[in-house]
Amino acid sequence: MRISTNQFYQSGLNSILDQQSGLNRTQQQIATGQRVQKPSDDPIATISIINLEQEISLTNRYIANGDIGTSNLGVEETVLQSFTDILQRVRELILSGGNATYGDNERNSLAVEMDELLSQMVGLANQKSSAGDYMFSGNKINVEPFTKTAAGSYQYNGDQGVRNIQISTSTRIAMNDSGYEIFQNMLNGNGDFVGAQNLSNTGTGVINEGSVVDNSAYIPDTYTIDLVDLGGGVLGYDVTGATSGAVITSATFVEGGDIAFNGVSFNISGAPAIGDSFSLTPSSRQDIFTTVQNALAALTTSVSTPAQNAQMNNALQRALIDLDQGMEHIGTIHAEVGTRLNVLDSQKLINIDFIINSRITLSSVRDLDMAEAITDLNLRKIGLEAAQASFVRIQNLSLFNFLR
Amino acid sequence: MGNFLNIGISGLLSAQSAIATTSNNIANINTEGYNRQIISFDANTPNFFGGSYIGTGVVINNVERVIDSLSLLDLRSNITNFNSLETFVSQADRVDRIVADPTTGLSPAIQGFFDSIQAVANTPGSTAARQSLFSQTDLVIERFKILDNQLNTQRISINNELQAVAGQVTTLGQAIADINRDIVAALGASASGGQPNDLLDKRDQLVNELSKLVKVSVIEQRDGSNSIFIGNGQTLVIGLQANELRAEADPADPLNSRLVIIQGNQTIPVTNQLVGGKLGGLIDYRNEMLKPAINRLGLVALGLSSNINAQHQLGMELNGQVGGLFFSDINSATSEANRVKENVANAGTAQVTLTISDVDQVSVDDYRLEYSAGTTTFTLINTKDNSVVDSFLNPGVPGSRIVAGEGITINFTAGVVADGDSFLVTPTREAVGGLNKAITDLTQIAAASPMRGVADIANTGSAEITGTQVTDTTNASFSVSGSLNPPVRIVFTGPTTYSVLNDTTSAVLAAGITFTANQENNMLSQAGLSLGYEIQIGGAAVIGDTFRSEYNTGGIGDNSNALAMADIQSQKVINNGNSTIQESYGLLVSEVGTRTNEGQISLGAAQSLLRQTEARVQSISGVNLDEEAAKLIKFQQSYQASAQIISTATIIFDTLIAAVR
Repeated sequence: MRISTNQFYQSGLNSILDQQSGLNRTQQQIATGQRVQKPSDDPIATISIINLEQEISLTNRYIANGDIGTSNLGVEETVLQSFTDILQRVRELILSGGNATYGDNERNSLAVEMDELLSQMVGLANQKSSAGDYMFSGNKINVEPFTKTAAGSYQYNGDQGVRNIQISTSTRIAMNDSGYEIFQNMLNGNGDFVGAQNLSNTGTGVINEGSVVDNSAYIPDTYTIDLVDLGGGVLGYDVTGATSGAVITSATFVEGGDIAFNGVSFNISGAPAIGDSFSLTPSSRQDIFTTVQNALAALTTSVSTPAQNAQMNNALQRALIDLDQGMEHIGTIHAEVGTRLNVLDSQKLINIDFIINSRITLSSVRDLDMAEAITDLNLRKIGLEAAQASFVRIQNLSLFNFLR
Repeated sequence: MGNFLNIGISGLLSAQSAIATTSNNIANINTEGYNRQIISFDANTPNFFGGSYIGTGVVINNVERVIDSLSLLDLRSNITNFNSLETFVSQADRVDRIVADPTTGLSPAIQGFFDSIQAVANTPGSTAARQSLFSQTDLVIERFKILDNQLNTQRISINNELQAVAGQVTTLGQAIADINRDIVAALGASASGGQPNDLLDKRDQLVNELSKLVKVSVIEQRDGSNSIFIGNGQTLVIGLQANELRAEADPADPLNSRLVIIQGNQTIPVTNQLVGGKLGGLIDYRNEMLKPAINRLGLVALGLSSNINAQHQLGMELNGQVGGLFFSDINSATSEANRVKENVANAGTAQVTLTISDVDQVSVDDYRLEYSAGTTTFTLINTKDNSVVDSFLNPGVPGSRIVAGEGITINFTAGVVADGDSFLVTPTREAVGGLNKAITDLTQIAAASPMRGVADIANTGSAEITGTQVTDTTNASFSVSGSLNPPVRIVFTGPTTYSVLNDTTSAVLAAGITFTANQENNMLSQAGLSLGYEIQIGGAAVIGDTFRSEYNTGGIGDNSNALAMADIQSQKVINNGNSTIQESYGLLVSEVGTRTNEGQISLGAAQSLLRQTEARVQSISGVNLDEEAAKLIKFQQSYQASAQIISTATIIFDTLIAAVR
């Protein structure tokens, strides 16, 4: 084929330019280590890269969220542990208070320690986080959760709010518990009802915790147990419900014997006197501070008669029952916090795993195969050199060189 | 004897001409558009002498360009195609480089924005977290604006370029008309039919130049002039007369230039007829990539701002107020007015605005609203494919039309519409321009919920509030600052029934509502109450158990609204529930990437086609120096031989003189 001189030069030049632009591209890829430099290099891979980068970044955020949760719940766990330790000591003090050989003085010294423990409890409940926010006032983080009222009880000033954190696309986990939930949201008595003695009892009867033995038969009501004379010195009792009416009339009282009706069962120990009465009222929410304050009040009451002693024992008994309920409740929350910490831990592992896998995918989509690229670079370099060398060699070929 | 002297002279002269032609070829080797010329000779008319025809030498028949008109046509169409694609790709390349770049791309900025919302959710009371959300908000807005600016700068530069290229087209058209005149004159002067080769070369070259700018078709006229039609048959040159191509602001869309041909007193709009070449590449790029990219970016901005705003307004600020706008209102009066541009040529005075009623349904398309007085009907046409989207009777002033399925509402605010009036409706184009941060103070970030549910401490059942949601802060419940109007009290009248009371007045709002124990109950909607919020209660209730709603006064540690705002990141809120905000931006990137990639591939193909055709044309018409050198030798020898004839004639003549002396 006929070829024009210009074409001859142009095609030589074109092949050099083509090799150069290919070389430049490969060189850029090697310099950045990335195969995909702009969307048009590989539109589909670009979208994968954007999505992967976004997912990695989001998952990093979830890990950071989880770390904040872990640290918050970690502090809460420590506080709950200290709180439980204190309650344990309070429990021991209440048990000691029931020691028959103790007099007012011994009980007063127990009370001094218990009072100290109470203020430690309030201190823990009013604990601030490292950020300076109250930990247990729900969402009212600027408000001191527990303050003493004029009447001497502790009132809760926070709310019932819980802060969740996002630890995966679909999982949120609570990073706090409100003071209401931890310290207030517990039922007194055995959780169903509270047994109490009439404050004007003259005998030494002490009502125990009791329990609901048959849930289906249980009718929540305020029941009064009146001790009556069945004649002939036989002590008996009547049970009347505020709404249920007479439930039991004139049964014989046996010390420590089961008194059972409407699905409940309890007993009265000691020697109640005729005219004494006891009551069962449905459990209601009673905060842990009130429980301890009740125990304190019992310990600091001066006791001189057996009846007063029985009153005190009844009060201590009730405080102990309430305290056990409270400890169980706080124990449950403590366990929940532990569970949440476990969830946070395992979610963190999952998240880290996810990031590692995403990075691997990202790398396979975006990154350059160095070995291949360097081979490619060498090939192109050889190609360019060959094009240049051949261009120089053939450009001297002209008939005019021979026309002399 | 005189006879062969003449023969010698004719040989000498023709060898001279041949050497001149060859020299001309050699001299013009670097002349753009030059086609090699070859000389052809004929034997001169012989003399009849003594019963025989005796030759009388040589005569130049013609000096011709060596061209193949079919290859030339091919070359032009390939030039047009290559330049169109090259322009497209070089424009597309600019966008391609910025949309996914880590420093200019939007994706990391949106990620950072949602990231800092989660940081606020983690520590709602912390000034540091709020400050970081503030700066991330500024950053994401800035990224939107940078991208939008880049795209709009490109739009302006395309307007300028269209003007420049239209000028070049006009100049080339004029030059072709001028050269037509010279060619017609030259052909008229040359009785023998010799061709004005260099003028023809020049004209072909001008047409090739024109082919770079736009698709060209040439019709050869009988007088030798060429008529030139550009694009899909728009007249640029007829014989000696050239028209002007001009870029001017489009009356229907002043931000984008249109192209018109000025033919006498007539102005003919030809924008969509001009295909191929630089003009075609620019117009294709503008229609297929730039406008959709600007609109897509606007849609992402609308999606982000409207969804964040909606959720933010359901929250409570640090100062206890119900949340306000986070970003500027997408339906501000200015934005609504900006979305509709009336045609400059409208005869009527109607003022039309556009409200975005549901971002999820909004598309990236633009629309044209046309009015026909005959039927008093407005027709809304999608400019992408000229399909009719909606057609409705003139609703009058003030009136409005909700366009079903498009998420837009057209408002007719004032004025009178006239027959043939048209309006350009661009729901998304200027959205980024209107994107600003509306909150001015860190405390205005509404991370909390404005209401909370409270379980009464006297409750004895296990029923618990399992969740609360705020759905509408424009409800009367939130009409009084700092409190619920009214707060409500849910009182269980039995384990499976409850009443809802006004907690302030104890007035019964609903009574005897059924409660299903141990599953989640939507307490307020079950009671048929619409209070702008909902309370869920689960578990087992006991008669007398009481729950209250109250304003979230002091609840600054509440992060529920911040969590809900963060949730928007993973919600499919754009494209009729098909894309998240980031996915919608991803669409932009993939559209840009795919189209650029396609353009590059086509450009590669067009380039090799162009090179092949160039090679073909060159192999026919290009000068080969070796060939010319050979011819030079050949003609030099002819010249020498012819000179020898004259020398021989001289000797013979001398001999004859000597003989008769």
